[in-house]
Parts: sequence; structure tokens; C-alpha cells
Amino acid sequence: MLATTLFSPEIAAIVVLAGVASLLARATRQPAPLLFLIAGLAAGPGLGVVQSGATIDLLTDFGLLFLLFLIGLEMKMERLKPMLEQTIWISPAQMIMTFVVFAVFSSFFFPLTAALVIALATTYSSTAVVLRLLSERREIDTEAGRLDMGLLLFEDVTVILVIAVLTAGGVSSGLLFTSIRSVAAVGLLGAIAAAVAWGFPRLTTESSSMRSLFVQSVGWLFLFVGVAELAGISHEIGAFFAGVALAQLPAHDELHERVQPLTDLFMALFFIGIGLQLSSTDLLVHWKVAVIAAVLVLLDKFVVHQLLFRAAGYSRETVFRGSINMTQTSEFSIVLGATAVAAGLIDTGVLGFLTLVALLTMTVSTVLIDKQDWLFRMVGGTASQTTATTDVVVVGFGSGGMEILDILADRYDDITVVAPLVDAARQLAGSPYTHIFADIRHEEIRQRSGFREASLILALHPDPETAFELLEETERGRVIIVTEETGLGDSYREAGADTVLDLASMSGDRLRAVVERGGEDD
Amino acid sequence: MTELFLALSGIFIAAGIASFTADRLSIPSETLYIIAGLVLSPLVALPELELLAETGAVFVVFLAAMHLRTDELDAVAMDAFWLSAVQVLLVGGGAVAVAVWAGLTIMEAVLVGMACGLSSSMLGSNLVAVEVDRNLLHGRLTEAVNVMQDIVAILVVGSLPFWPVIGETIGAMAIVAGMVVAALVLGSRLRPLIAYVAEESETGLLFALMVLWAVVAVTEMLPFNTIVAAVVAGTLLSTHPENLDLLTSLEPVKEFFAALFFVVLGMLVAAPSSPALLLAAALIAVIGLVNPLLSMAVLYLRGVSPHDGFRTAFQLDQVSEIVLLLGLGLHVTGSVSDTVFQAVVMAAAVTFVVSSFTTHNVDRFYRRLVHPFVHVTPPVEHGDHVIVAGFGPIGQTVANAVEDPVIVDNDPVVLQQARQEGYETVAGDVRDPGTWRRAAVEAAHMVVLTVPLDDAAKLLSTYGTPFIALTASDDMADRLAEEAVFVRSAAALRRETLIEAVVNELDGWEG
Repeated sequence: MLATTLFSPEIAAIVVLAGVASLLARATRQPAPLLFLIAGLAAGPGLGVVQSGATIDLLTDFGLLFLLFLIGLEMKMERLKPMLEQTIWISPAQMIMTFVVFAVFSSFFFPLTAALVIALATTYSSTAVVLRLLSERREIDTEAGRLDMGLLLFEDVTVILVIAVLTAGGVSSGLLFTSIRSVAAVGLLGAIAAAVAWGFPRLTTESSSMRSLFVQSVGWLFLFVGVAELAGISHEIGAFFAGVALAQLPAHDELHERVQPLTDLFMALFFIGIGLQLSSTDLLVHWKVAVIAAVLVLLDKFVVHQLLFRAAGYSRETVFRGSINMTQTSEFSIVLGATAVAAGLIDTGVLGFLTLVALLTMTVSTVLIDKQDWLFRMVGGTASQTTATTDVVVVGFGSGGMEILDILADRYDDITVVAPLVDAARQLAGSPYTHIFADIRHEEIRQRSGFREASLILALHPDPETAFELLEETERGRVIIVTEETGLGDSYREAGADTVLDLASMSGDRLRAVVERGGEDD
Repeated sequence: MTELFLALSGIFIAAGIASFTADRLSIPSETLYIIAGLVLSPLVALPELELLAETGAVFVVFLAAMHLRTDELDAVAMDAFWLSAVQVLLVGGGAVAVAVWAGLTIMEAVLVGMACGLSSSMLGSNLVAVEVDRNLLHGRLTEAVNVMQDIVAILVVGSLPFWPVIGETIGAMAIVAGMVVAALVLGSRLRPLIAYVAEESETGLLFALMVLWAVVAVTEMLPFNTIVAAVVAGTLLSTHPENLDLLTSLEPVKEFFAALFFVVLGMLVAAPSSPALLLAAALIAVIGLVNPLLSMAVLYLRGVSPHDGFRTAFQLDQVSEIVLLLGLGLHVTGSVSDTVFQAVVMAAAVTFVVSSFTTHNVDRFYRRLVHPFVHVTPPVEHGDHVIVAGFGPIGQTVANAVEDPVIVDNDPVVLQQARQEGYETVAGDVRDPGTWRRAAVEAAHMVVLTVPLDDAAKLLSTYGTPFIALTASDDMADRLAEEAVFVRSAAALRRETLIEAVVNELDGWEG
């Protein structure tokens, strides 16, 4: 099946392409999936250096698997609820309206099945684009940011249903029948996931290291994949529910961060693989329609989101920014397209069409999102300040952590602890303090912790790089850094730290005092 | 594809269970992966797995090489050189000779020799990482030996296809050595680029993989084995500290592939034959006993204290991951027999566990087995002195407050600094009774132990000298409360200091 090893020249070419594309994406600030697609197109249909093959197919399969696993990992119920409550009717309304618009539009140019697939694929906006740009712009915690992330989350949930329908045997056994069967199977897996979500934390987090927890999670992933396979539904759905089950763990944030690199890797290969599968004719056969469709996507998404956000009573700024952010199709449209091709529902020309629409809308919307401040002023808006969401952010949680929190609680109201430590999770469970089980090094976590607006940041033993970043990004809070590395104190103070507690020399002083007094503690 | 996915499901479920169990038993998960593979082998069989496993192994070797720090090794370079030379030439070479004499083919003999003479960078760095300080003498020695042995390994692996033509073999070795040097030079030039790509996890990951695959492509053209490429690529990216974020992004990918590799390795062993078991036993004896004993002797002759020698020797007593990767390659192509392959894999599984066990209990073994036979004369002559053990930040502060203290530490770099500041020093591990005797502990007026090690504090309490100590655990601090002048666990001292400081700070703002 695998004709070559993973160190064949073909795979080498793909991995090198992925590296170059990723560097380019970083330099040009374009979404990485876009660059991966272009790299694949350039190498395959363009230059003909690489052909799609069994090994590449396997890797792209892995890409989808880990993508859905990762999406599942985002489905932490307690966090999901408040997000979805906000968007519970907006998201389906948007999807239905956009679906109708594009079903009508596409039916002029494509056969009915293809038109429906296109309409379905177009309803999604891109998490890759929105998350990345909002992170860079530090807007995830704004009202518009939270709103959009909620919508995208809802869309993610529906992807799984669509994939379930598309993969369950294709058209041959009748769409209705397969739909019912898939939904039933999804329900079954959901039940297993719930059972695991209940049992797994008791089994594992007590004494497992993060490293081991990760391998165990991959084990769970493949257990679900195996069950899905045996139940006759697609393994992607199994992967999704494995993710959902594990998302309920206290350690899920850190787990998410650990799964991310594997997903990044396989998704890069996935998009390059898609690029390779298409020929230049596939991509360009419907190019005129694609250009029109791209313009329509931009208009439709902007207008539909505007209407719905306004109806929901959001402020003018939120309505505007929230809508601008969503003006593109998703990488999911390509995923769904590829799945539909595999199920025999559409031909590669339609996949090429979807790809081209995604390429165009993602590029344009990246520019729009980047220029939204200017655009907003153009339409007469005034930018507002975001408000603080927490008073104190404590980064890290070492010995004495709980006592310090209690001392802080005498003086401040909201306290958030960011620490990827099982021990912290155990101690903080049931306490009045918010705990984010993750590393502050990740931008997403920084956004969520709200440390930039906090009035006090207490960093317990941060690594120097993180400490300097925190200092640079803090907007108005006092910063206390607790460190054991002597010699860094002055640089921290220069970088803006209000207080540096050098614990090593302070402990040393204390011990010295004991020595000087001949052994008596004060 | 279905079949492959089911096979992978089996492998990763097994790996999950193995890793869960390994955590609870505190043993390296790699061993349990191999055992999981053994159990799994009758149930799952797919030829493709070997290819995936090979990728996994290359990854493991690549990451291990990335972890190795080539800077800061000067202090121990000569000791490490002699130690590597003895392990490789005497133990490894001896094993090759015996293997040939016993009727194995040259390839098999080389594999057996490498298994005996080389230790694992992957496990070595894991073992040192759990130590209090990677900078201690034995930590540095272990790391330096790992670096040297990895280079020897790829010199051998790289030249293997050209044997026994002497000219070509030497030529191949020269090219491989050139590649390592080029990687080191290029790596230090690329520091800014590595720091730039490492900022973002995805770019860093894909960049590192690009380097690995590109180096593999180039080495295969030359033509060398992927093992050479993995070590060279790892060396290229071993620029500390710029590569720390890269290592973080790569870690999950490595875990994924490492699990795959070790489980498949176990599956390939399947049911070992009795000659394989016999050979494995012999290998384990050489790796676990002969090799450490010889290493201790070498280090003793080089003037390293018996305690450090003992610790170092028992951190270098496993089969190298490079040998496993080579074995896998040779097994796939049929160059080594099932028996030899099985023996090497089983020896690896056993030595991983033994090595981790001996490292964790090294002091107990040392005190029972070696210490009674070590004779020490104290170089410190004057009595009524104060001993400050540990010359870290805390130790330095304390030393400042005391008149003419004797400094005890085990990090050669730190000792150098202490001597430059005019302190009298004793080099040695605080868990080693020999160290205390050399510092004339019984004649001392007071001992201040600033290195929080329970074993050391307990040992110190046996001398009857008044002492102030930091411990690792609160438990030990409680137990020594009666005997010590002052004792706290390091965590408690820090906790008390921190809370006091934070309260002061907050009060200061309010005031």
C-alpha cells in the first residue's frame, strides 16, 4: 500500500514545501492553509515535481483525523455553554441564509448535487483566518471576537454532522438512509464519549505526566477511530468524539496545545495534498464563476452577519467588526469538497472551484480584517476601549500558591491563575479562583486570561522569555515577577516590572540571617 | 486504509495503556511500549508499519541529537573522551571480536558491538533531566559521552556500506565527520533564524521537519543512511537556547512517532527464540555490569571521585536508540538474523528499566557496594571551620556571611568560580560520605547544606556536627527537626519567604 518510505524524495519535496510555505505565510501574514494549497498546486499541477500517491493519501487522512480530534478537544461543555447561548440562533440562521443564497446561485452553473455541496461548503467561515488574525490583533476577548469565535465553534460542531452524512456510503444507498444511519452512529459514539468523559479523568489525571497523558489521548483517539471503523462510519467522526471526551478533562487546554503541533503537521500535508490532487484545469475550469462567487461570498457574509448581529442588539462597532471578520469561506469548504469527491458526489472541477473561492475570499478578507479600523472610521464609527475582565492574573502555581491567592483575595475581586499543572488543577478545583490549565506562552491563552488589562500580574518563576513578553504586553497593571535566577532582576525592572522578588537571594538572606544568629529563626 | 487504521488503533491503544502503566511504575515508557508490541504481535501484522516505525525512529534519534548541548562540555572533555574510547573500543570492539568468534556475520557482530559500546542519548538526557542539576559533574560527563558516542555511531553507520575497503571506509568517515562539523558551524550561524522560526509553533515545527527531510535527501544522495542524517540534522538544530521552543513544538510529534516505533519494535520481536534470549542475557550482562565497571575504573584512574564515577557509569548503561534504528534497518533488509535482532531489542527493553532503576537508587547502591572500600584522606586540615555545601545563589549568600568557609560543590564550573573568589573548596557530591570526610566534617564547627537533597541531609545528620540544612521534602525536614540547628524544605523556605515578600509588597502599595 505504501509504495515508498516516508523519506522518499516525494515526501521530502512536500515537507520542504510545507516549511517554505509556512515561512512565507509568516512573512506575508497570509493564512498558512492558503500557502500550503498554493505550494501543493505549484508542485503538482504547476511544475509536476510531485505526484499524489498512497503515502500522501495516508498523510492527508491523518490530517483530517487530527483536525477533527482537535475540534473535538475544543468542545468543553462548561465553556461551550455560555459561548453558544450567545449565538444559538444567529449561527444556524446565518448558515441557512447563506446556504439558500448559494444553492440558488450555484444551481445556475452546476448540477443539483454539486450546487448543494457548494452551498453547504460556503456556509462556513474560516477558523484558521479569524483565529489567527484576531490573535495577532489581540481582539479575541473583544465582544466581536467572542461573538465570532462562538459562531465558528457552532459551525465546527455542524461540520462533523455534514462529514458524517457525506462519508457514510455516499449516494449509492440513498442520502436519507445514510443520513439516518450516520446520525444514529454519531449518537452512539456521543454516548461512548460521554461515558469516557466521565471515567477518564478519574483514571488518568491523578498521577499521569503530561507526556504520558498525551500518548494515552492518542490511544483514546485511535480507540474511537477503531470503533467508528467497526461501526461503519467514518473515522473522522470517531476522532471528533474522542476529542469531545477528552475536552472534559481538567488538563484539556494543555492537551489541546500538545495535539496542535501534530495537527499543524498533518494539516499542512493535507492542504498540500489537496493542491497536488487538483490539476490546473480543475482549478481554472470554473474560474469566472469562482470570481463572481467570491465577490458574492464577501457581500453575503458581510450583509447576513450585519443583519443578524443588529437584530440581536449588538453595538454598532461589534456589528461591523464581527461581520468583517467572517467574510471568507473556510478551509472546511475544501475539506468538505474533498470528502464529497471521495464519496463520488462531485467531480474534481467542483473541488477546484471551491478551492479557488477559498483562496480568493481568504486573501481579500485578510486584507479587510487588517484594515478594519480604517474601514470602521470610514463608515463613521469611533473605536472603543476594551474593558478589564479580571483584576489579578497569577502566572504559575508553585508551593505556597494557595496562600498567596488567599492573601490577594483580601485585596482584589477576580483572580485568574494560568498554570499547566495538574497539582494546581486539583487545589484550585472548587476554589473561587478561575484556573486556566495551560501555558501563558500560547497567545490564545494570553487573550483568554485577560492579563493585558489586569491591574496586577504576579508571575511565579516565569522563564525569562515569557517574562519579558508579559512585561512588554501589559497595558496598565502592576507586575511582580518572582524569580530564582539572580542577575535578571535589573533587566526585568528595566523592562517595566514594578517589583522583582529574587527568591534565591531572598532565601539566601534568610538562611544567612539564621547562620548569623547561630541558628535561630526570627 | 481500513486495515492500517485498525492496526494503528491497536498500536496506540496499547501504547496508551503502556504509558499509563509506566507512569504508575515510574519506569521508562519505552520498555513498556516494546512489551506492548510483544503482546500485540499475534493480533496485528502489516508490513507498512515498519516504514512508519522507521520514520518514528529517525525522529527519536533526531530529537535526541537536538537535545544534546555541545557547548559547556570543555570542562569534562578529556574524561569523557577516555570514557567513550574505552566503552567504544574495549567494550564495543571486544564484543565484535567475541561475536565474530562465535560465528555471527560481520554486520551482526557490528550491531552487537554497538549495542554493548554505545549508550542512549535519549534515555541519558531523560535520566539527567530528573536530576537536581544537569550541571553536576556526572550530568556533564553523561552528556559529553553521549555526544561523542553519537558521533562515533554515525561514523560507523556511515562507513558500514563501504567495508572492508579501507580507503573508501576512511573516506566515508571523513565525509560524515565533515558533515557534523558543517552542521555545528551552520547551526551557530543560523541562530537568529532558528530563534525567529521558533517564535511560532507551526512555523518552527515545519522548519525543523524541513531541515530533517532536506538533510535526509542530501545524505541519501551521498549516499548515507538516514541515521547519519538524523544525527546531523539534530546537531544542526542543537543551538541552545534558541531551539528550546522548537523542542517544545516537536515534542508531541516525537511522542507520537516514538510510541509507534517502540511498539512496532516489540511486534517485530514477536516470540523470541531461546538462542535470542541467551544472547540478550549476555548483552544485558555486558551493558549492565561489565561496561559500568570498566567505566568506573577509567574515571577513577582519571581522578574522578568514585561517587561521580559510579553515578556516571550507571547513567550510561543502556542500548542506544541509534542501535535500535540500525537494527531495524538491517533486519528489514535481512542483513541480520531474527535471533540477533530480537536479542538487541530485548536487551534494550531490559537495560532501559535497569538503567532507570539504578539511576534512581544510585546512592543506596553506592553506599552499600562501593563506599566501604573507598579510602579518603581529608584535604582540609583546619578544624572548627564552617562548611557551606552548594555554591549556588543561596550558598553564595551564606558563604559571604561566614569567615573562611569551606565550599563543597560538584559542578566544575562553579568550583572554579569559588576558587577564584578565594574560597577553599572540596569537589564532590554531597550524597557521597567521601566528600564529607574530605571536608573534615567531624572537625567542623557548623555545616550549612544549601543543596536541597534529602539523602544528603540525612547523611549529614549522622556526623554529630551542628548543621543547618535545606531538604527536598517536608517529611525529611520534620524528621531532622530535633537534630538540626535549623532545617526547612527548600519549598517551605521559599514559600515562607515569598509570602512574606508579597504581603510586604502589597502593604507597601497600600501604605
